[in-house]
Amino acid sequence: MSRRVELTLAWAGAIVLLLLHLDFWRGARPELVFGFVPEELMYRVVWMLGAVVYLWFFTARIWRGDP
Amino acid sequence: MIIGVALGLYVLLVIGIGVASNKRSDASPEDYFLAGRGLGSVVLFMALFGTNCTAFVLVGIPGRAYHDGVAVFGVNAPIIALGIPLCFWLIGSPARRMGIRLGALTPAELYRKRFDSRGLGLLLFAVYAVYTIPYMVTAVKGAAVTLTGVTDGAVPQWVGGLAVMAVALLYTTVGGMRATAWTNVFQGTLFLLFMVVGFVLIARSLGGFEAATVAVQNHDPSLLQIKDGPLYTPGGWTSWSFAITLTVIGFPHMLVRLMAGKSEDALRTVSRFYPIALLLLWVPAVMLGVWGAAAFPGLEGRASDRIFSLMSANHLPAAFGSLGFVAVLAAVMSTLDAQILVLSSMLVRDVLKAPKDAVRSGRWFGLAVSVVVFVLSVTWGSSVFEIASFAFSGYVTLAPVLFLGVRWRACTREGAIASILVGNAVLLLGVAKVLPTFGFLPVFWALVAGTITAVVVSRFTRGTGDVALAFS
Repeated sequence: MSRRVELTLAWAGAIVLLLLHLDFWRGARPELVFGFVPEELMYRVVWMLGAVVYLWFFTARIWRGDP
Repeated sequence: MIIGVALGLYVLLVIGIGVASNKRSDASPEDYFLAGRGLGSVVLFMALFGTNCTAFVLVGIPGRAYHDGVAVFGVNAPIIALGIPLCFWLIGSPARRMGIRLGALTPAELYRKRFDSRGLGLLLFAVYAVYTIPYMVTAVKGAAVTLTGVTDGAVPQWVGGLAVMAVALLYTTVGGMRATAWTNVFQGTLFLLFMVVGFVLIARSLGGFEAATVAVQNHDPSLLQIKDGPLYTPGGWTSWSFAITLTVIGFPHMLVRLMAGKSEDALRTVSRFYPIALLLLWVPAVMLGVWGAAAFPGLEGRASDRIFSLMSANHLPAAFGSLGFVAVLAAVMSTLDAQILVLSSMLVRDVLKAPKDAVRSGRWFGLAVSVVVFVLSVTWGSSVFEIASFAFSGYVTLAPVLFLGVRWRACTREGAIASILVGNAVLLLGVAKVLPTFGFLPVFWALVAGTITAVVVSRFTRGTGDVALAFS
């Protein structure tokens, strides 16, 4: 993967995550997923797992280690 | 009785770690204030995580979730899980490298040397102190409220606050950064484990995850969704997202720990695991508050700060429940110690001019700060969340300088000073409702104003300091 592609992916990933965090388009509903997880909480937890994946990519490919 | 034993063991352990660290220290300022810049991945991770998570998360967040529900999770946890590691890269990493090149031991010293400006160093120290002391007050209040809660009022809040301050001051004074980092490993492990295990046990006590959450649905379904309120409007949500993310790197006690990192690889490893630890901590913290709303209805205002201790005391086995208080203590002390140390080190390095015995001067100042914090903790009436929100907003005003100072060669001394002054002025005027905020929080405009000021003023002034060395 070229450096340009890596940087593009890093920027795109950050923007997508940010937009999904500013999710004013989602309606507020007190529904439960699997019978016990509030839908609102589930959405945020899945988002955080996405952030975990993103940060593994970022620290592996964008953030340079010690020379 | 059980609480007393758990508490005694905890105190003995942290003081023991402090003494052991002291024996390994070579008594130089670099070793005392930065642990010789030798914190590896595991210790650095726990030092950062332990320092980052305090009574705000274990007491303030459940207390706020009691009123606002799961929305508290959404507006805080996800964005910091992404934003904090990115700030480590954006600001922490270059600050660490620059600190080594310039021989800086504190955040204020780093920027003072970068800009060759004693005035900037003094200004940074003043701003850090103004916002760190209220933040320390939240820690002491959180521990005191919890101790009073678990002892059914037998131990007054002021006694709890005094004890917490005294123990944190003792081991910090004895062992410096190395002691605080190693105690943070123990403390962070303790409160993270307690939250995860306690969460499961409390759920079982409430009849299972489903029964606990359905009880909330029946009690007040709005707690399971985004609520109405200034923080949850698009403007409030957006501005708080920026604020809560940038405030963490604005904590001097966080930045100084990043400067103590052994290597770039240590920082990268920390950043990978940070969001996972936040997830494990924040889900229980919020859900305990939400479930508590149905289990203990009727707590008004800041009385909800007691919900964590109420849930621990009433829904956990006695022996494990006593660990709840120790977990709060651990979270509180792991931040307090770092704050005492960083304020002391900045006084010695950036305010006093090379005192004869830097370490001893730092210890005396730590004592003075602790006395002020204790007095404020018994006289300041606001909730933990409210006080922390004030402090967090203040730290954000430093973000433009912290970032531009290590990433932009053309940033000047005048630009940095103007940015801090304008940012804080806008914040105060916004909070006082003198300036309109157009649906955003005042901190958002403070950040915008501070950034624009730094860039514009830097464009019209000449740089100072050894920029070539700082960015080499």
